[in-house]
Amino acid sequence: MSNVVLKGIRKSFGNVEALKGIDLDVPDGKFVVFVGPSGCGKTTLMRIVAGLENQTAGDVIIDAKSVNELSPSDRGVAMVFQSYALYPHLSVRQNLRFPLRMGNVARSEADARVDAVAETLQITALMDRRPSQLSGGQKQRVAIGRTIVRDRKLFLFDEPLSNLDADLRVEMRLEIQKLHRRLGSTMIYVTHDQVEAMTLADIIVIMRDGRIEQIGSPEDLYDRPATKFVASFLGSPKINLLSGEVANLREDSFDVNLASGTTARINLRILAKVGDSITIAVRPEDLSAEDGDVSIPVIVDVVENLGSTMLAHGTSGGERLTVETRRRGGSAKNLGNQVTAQSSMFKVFGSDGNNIVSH
Amino acid sequence: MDSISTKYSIGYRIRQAWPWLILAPVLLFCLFPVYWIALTAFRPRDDIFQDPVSLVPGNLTLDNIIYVWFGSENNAPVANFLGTSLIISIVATIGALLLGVSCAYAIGRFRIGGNFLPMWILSFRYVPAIALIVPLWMIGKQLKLLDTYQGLILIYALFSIPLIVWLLLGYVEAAPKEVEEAAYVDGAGHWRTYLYVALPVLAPGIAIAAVFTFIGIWNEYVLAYQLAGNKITTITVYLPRLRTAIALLFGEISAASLLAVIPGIFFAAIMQRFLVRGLAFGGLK
Repeated sequence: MSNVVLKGIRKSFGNVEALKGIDLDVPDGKFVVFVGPSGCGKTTLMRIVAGLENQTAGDVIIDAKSVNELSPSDRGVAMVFQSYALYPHLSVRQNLRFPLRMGNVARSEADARVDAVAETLQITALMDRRPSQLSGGQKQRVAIGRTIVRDRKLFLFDEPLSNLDADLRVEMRLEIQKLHRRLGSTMIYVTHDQVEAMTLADIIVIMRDGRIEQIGSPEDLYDRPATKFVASFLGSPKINLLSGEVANLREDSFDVNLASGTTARINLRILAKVGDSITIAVRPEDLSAEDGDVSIPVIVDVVENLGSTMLAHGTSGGERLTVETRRRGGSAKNLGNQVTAQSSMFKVFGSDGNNIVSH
Repeated sequence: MDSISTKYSIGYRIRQAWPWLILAPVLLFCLFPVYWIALTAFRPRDDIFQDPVSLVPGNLTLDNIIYVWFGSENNAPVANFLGTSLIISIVATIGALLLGVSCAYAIGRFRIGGNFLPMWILSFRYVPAIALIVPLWMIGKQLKLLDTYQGLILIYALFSIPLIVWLLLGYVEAAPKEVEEAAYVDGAGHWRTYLYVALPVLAPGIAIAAVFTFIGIWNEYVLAYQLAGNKITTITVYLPRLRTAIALLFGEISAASLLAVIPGIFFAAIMQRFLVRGLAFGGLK
């Protein structure tokens, strides 16, 4: 169990600034996911926490002690690499024993520990095999086994599921969740996959271009995105974005001229002036044929049947729109030339991408 | 039933076979001298000089081998010189590997010496050894290293290091850093990571470097002749001396040459094991 505090972390590679000032407090025992598009700096940040990279500026503090000067071997962290990084010349058993060997743990105790871990991860049958003789999922288990074989206070996962096929990914996601529940340790997990972020995280840290865009629980980020970027990044299918101009402002509502030529009235208070360019956003699942108080015209051109849900794709004023409904008992077939949604479901962003809804 | 081979047309089979038309003469060119040496080694003296020369073995004898192995009043047992070569080659190879592999690792992983060091190390081989004979001899005389084991071992090790560094650099850069990073996180410092993780992963590269270095030193003639040759005589220096007062003993030279080839083959066969094992790693996808 440990908490991690990052203060003012900056990292430059030559002239390229990969991290532009990261301040973060990771509470004890939480599962924190760093998520963002490729190149946002999430992996670099994690490697700095691990000690595999040195930050250009800032402090890494684990358990109230600065670890800036400690090498990775002394920081007491455990890490699962994207490529698993198993020792190719050692058997599974020797791979699992390696951290114990480095910690000078007595042979008998080490063996007992290794056997226990293998049992937990159901890899006992593979103990004498070499990594080259294992499947992707098996290698993953060994990599995870290697981290839990010693009592580590902090676990780091670097996109561990990105090389697995879809079914295996779902299965291993559950395994990791169970692991966290069982160990209760602080875990930092890096991924570019928003599904992993949503399902695994206690706290999500969304990053873009070397900065933290927003921090919060999955629900927080999903329902109350601070920026257009966060709103687009989380959620599948993607949130619908419609551009418009503020036509009228009132105390608790506003009118917006949409690209489709219509004007919609939304009952939210926003911080804007008449004439401002704004973007209104609404999630596909929040749109329906007739239940909402805001109407948006749409011309549907493609309907996808996913089995349990239907996705209706169309355009509204030249911008793409997607509506998600349940297939059975849903109103997809009833979609005429407009869709509706509740005002409260809308998010509104200014021209700088920031949320301008005030409460 | 027709066998599978008849399904292929004549044209196809000719096209499959034509690389051999080129390879066959090359193989013949390379392997024939080896065959001839082996043949001469087992032939009685009269057969060696027969006219016309015969390509096919006729009478065979072990006399030549026995003569060189046990020695005679003119020539010492060849085993002595094989032993000398063996000691020098093995010690020099080990010394060169110790320094060369660690150097390659330091340059490849930590960029020691920047862009300057690798080129500077390679520059030691720009000049052929024979051009350096005079200064090397003078240094050897001053330091009392002429005609000694340590002198030859030192110079061979130093000359081998550049090639080892350059060969291993490729392997070090190809070896994935993540496996070593995993070792760091698992609690191994730089030294233990190097010994327990980096070196085993580099085993195929080290094996190849070892074979080339050993054989290069084993076969070396010029330095062994100029900087030694009296008390310390390697097999390469000894071979041309196999003679009586009136003639070069071709049969005996061939026999000695055959014996001289064996350690090299043996060593390469041992290294083969490390080469194959190392290539089968797949701890990364």
